[in-house]
Amino acid sequence: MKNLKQWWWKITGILLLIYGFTFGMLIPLKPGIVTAEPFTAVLGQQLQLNVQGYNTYYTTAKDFRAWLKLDSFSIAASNIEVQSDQQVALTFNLPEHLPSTIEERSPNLIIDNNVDGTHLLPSAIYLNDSKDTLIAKEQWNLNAISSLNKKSGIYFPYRNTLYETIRNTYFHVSLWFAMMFLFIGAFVQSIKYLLGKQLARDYKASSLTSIGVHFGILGLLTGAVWAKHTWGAYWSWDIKQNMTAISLLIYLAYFVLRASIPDVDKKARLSAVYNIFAFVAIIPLIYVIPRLFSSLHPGNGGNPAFGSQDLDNTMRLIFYPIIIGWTLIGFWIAQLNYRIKRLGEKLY
Amino acid sequence: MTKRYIIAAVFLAFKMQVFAQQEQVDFMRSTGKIYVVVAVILVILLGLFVYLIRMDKNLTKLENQINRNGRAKK
Repeated sequence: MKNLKQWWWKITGILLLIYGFTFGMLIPLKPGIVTAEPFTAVLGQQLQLNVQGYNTYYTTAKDFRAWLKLDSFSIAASNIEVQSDQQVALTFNLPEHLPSTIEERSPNLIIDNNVDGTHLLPSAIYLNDSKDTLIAKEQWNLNAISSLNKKSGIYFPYRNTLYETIRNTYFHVSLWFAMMFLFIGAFVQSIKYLLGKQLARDYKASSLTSIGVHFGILGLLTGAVWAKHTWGAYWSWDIKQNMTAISLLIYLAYFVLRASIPDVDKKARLSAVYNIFAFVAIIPLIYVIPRLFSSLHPGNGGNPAFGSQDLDNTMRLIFYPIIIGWTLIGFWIAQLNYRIKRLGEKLY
Repeated sequence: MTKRYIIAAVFLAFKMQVFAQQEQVDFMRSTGKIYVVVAVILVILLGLFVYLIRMDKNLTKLENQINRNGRAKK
């Protein structure tokens, strides 16, 4: 029973991470459309659109329908030729004019069938005006899309350019959340040190800060890898990248400060004060300033937290357990660090 | 020790790059960019290993000290 008290939260951390990593990798993405070619079309002409699907099962699908949709106007595909599970050729007889009063020229492509459900490609094609006088065979239909199928089961959202990397939400973002919890722990321990002047509090604070900074650095590195393959560069000088880098530098200075003071009590007192300052300083850096500027991160220019667009309910089932898991593992590693420090203290 | 690890890691990364260039131009972007996720998980794992090695070194230092003190008492 004594063991249980010591181990339950560590075991919980391990189990949560195993759960999160397993299902975070295993659950497939929803069906989606990778590309539709060509990218431009001329109004009033016949258009053959070659569509490349993702995680789709077009050959087994029945009740296959497709539309080009501009605002609430749409035209249905006149001919659908399934070539493989991921490929289909759609034929549209484009109307001669854009639907009345609509300036937008890039309709969304919507595909619906009974196996894959509804999936779409936003702004699939750009419509140019016709130069010749072909008469449109079909005109736009208003609110004609109805009785859409829904794919049942557990899937992660499909996003163009993100594709499978949407899973990095669990592995990259959760590190930042865990880092923040570790910093909160260190902040509390620093205050407690100043109140009670127990050296153990100082060891706890520095251990928690150490692993917190480590998680932060891992967050930056994983973010850089992800950014390289979605934004095109490891470092884009994005406001969030910059502010978190500054935050980590502030916390790295904490260790420089500690290393530069030989006297144990003085070191503990100064670093506790500095730690409190550092924690207060990163709150605006991470939670206020990024909301004031536009950013490549989700929720740009506004709330950097996740809206329903970036994190659906299926993702929450994985995302929150991983955050708790990393936090528990972080506290565990901090505890190990702390115990090593206590051992060292006894030796001197 | 650490130097050897770093050299090995750099060498491996270089080799992987050469491999990627020869075999497939867009290795990281193939099959739904799943390898980006793999790379991210690898970075996390490597990072944790670095931390483990650091803690191990601290412990070894302490152990050496205990051993030395023990011998001195004899």
